[in-house]
Amino acid sequence: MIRVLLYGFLVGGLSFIAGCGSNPETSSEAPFATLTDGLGRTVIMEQPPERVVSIAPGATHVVRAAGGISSLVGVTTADYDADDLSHLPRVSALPLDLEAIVALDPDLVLASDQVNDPSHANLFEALDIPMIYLGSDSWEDVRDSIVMTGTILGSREEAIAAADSLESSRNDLISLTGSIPSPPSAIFLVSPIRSYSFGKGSYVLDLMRWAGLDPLTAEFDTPAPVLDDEWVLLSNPDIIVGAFGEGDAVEALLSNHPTWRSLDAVRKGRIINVPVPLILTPGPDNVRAAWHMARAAHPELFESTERAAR
Amino acid sequence: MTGRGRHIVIILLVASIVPVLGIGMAFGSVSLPLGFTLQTLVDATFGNVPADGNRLADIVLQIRLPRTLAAFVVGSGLSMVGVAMQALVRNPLAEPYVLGISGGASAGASLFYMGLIPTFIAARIDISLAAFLGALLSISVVYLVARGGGRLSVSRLLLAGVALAAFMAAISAFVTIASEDANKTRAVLFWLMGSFHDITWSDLPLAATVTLLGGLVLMSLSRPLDALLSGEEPARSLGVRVEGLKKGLILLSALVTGVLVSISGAIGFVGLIIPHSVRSMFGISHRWVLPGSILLGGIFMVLADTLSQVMLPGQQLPVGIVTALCGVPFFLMLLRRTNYQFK
Repeated sequence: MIRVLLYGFLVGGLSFIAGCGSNPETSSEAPFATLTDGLGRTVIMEQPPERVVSIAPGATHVVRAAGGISSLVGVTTADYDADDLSHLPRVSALPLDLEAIVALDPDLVLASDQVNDPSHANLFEALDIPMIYLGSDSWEDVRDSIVMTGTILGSREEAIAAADSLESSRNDLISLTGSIPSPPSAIFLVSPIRSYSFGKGSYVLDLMRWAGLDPLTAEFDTPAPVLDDEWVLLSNPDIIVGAFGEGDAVEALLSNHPTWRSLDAVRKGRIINVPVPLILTPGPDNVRAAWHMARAAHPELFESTERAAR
Repeated sequence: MTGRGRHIVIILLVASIVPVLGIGMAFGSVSLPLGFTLQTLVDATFGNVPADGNRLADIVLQIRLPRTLAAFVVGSGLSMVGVAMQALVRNPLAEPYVLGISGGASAGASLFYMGLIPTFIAARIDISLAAFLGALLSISVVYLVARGGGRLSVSRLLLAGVALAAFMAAISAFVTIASEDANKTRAVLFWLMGSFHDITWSDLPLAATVTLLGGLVLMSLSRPLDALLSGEEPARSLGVRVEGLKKGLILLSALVTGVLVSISGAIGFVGLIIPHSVRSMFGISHRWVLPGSILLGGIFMVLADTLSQVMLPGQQLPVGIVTALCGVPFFLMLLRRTNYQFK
């Protein structure tokens, strides 16, 4: 989307070189970069960033995809465990632990336009710390975020390659599931306990469509509807997708929603448990989440494709 | 209102229970044909249980029916506790939610649900008992703070209630925010607003029993409660064991509120609106106020819950939002009165 990255670097390489050697007194020099972030804010960066703090797991995923993980000096307590993050200090982003973040002495803070409070930009601006909200409202936003992040962090080529690879993977999936004549109906649940879901315009509904599913909650205008059991029973989805975490998903669902025993999805065992880090963090890993859903929802499609490949 | 008039109103309230429960059964998050709902209920009444896998019958029998009955029970119970609290403190502004009792019950239940009660205690109690203990703690503190020099200060009572409610809400908020289990956090945050979405048949027996027994006990105490309204000394002179009565009311209020909050979350202002409305019809005699409040409270809660379901079709809306929207203006109106004492 347009509001994401109109990241025209005004003086590209020249300003990069100039920026490397600049100091606050040489303010007449052109900035390293001027860009528009996911919230439509204009962000001016005087220097190439070397100490980046991510205050959204999605932003961390984008940095990783862009090949800039070595620039990170801190991530959030909500980030999932990963080997490449194990050495990094963790800070609270919700609620924002400003002191802990500033103590990491960042020269760039990366946030998500889907998760972080827009007003937090004022806090960092007051401290002269550039803050960029990475867009993740749509796939195009995510792709552009990867390229922009790679460019800022000095790994532009790697970022473009990663974005192209993800784009290609996504297109392959859409092409594969596009052959399904009548996509099965499905609902997505954030948790097996309370029926939080995603409404119209959510990235999760896009992922479900890529996976060849017909998301029933697209009818809700609210972004995070809490589904009523009556509605679920009446809708009778063919498939229930969720981020149910460890354990038996069916048992967890039925212990919290005993009346769902009569749903077709439950009776036929069509419950898809997507790994939480892949699906609940808007970002590049969502492509893998869509593939995970598609493989579980349409095994016959993949079997025939693999047979044909052999 | 004359005795005959009171009888007529009580009969009308009793007669309206079935139609109101019918409204609760007819309207829900989704639209079902009325004939189907009725037929399913009739069939179930005569032992014709629908076959497994009948989703529409499940909506009627496993979701709406226990939910509607639970709404009636909780509405009745909270109204009844409101009457008891108001008699105890001799002021019509008292109510489990306003006085922090519901908040205490919520905090107790939240601590239990989030697994933050020490194991050696948690292993010996359940969520209802945890809620009861939280409620008992709250009401005891509020009462002790408000009482001084043998008198109960209304302003101190309300302020202590507000303070305890805030304190207990802070505990509930802390345990939910501090929890590492996001799923439980989401569930508790929703439940704290008051909701009947998770009601199952297994929730009903204890709640109904406690409410029924509590109602019977309070009805048997109608005369002492009437005497208490005129003050502790006059009540003593009439032979009422005031201290025992007060302790009994505190225990009973905490027990009923704790059990009800453990199944529905904290639903506010019902115990304020309903007794006040009933008194405006019946006067202050508990012989009439108690049954009137029990009946009207149940009816009000069923209607409020039905409204909460149809406001956002297909989605859950906590009923506590509806009762607060009705109750807060009512509470403010009462506060505006220069003399909020029983007439």
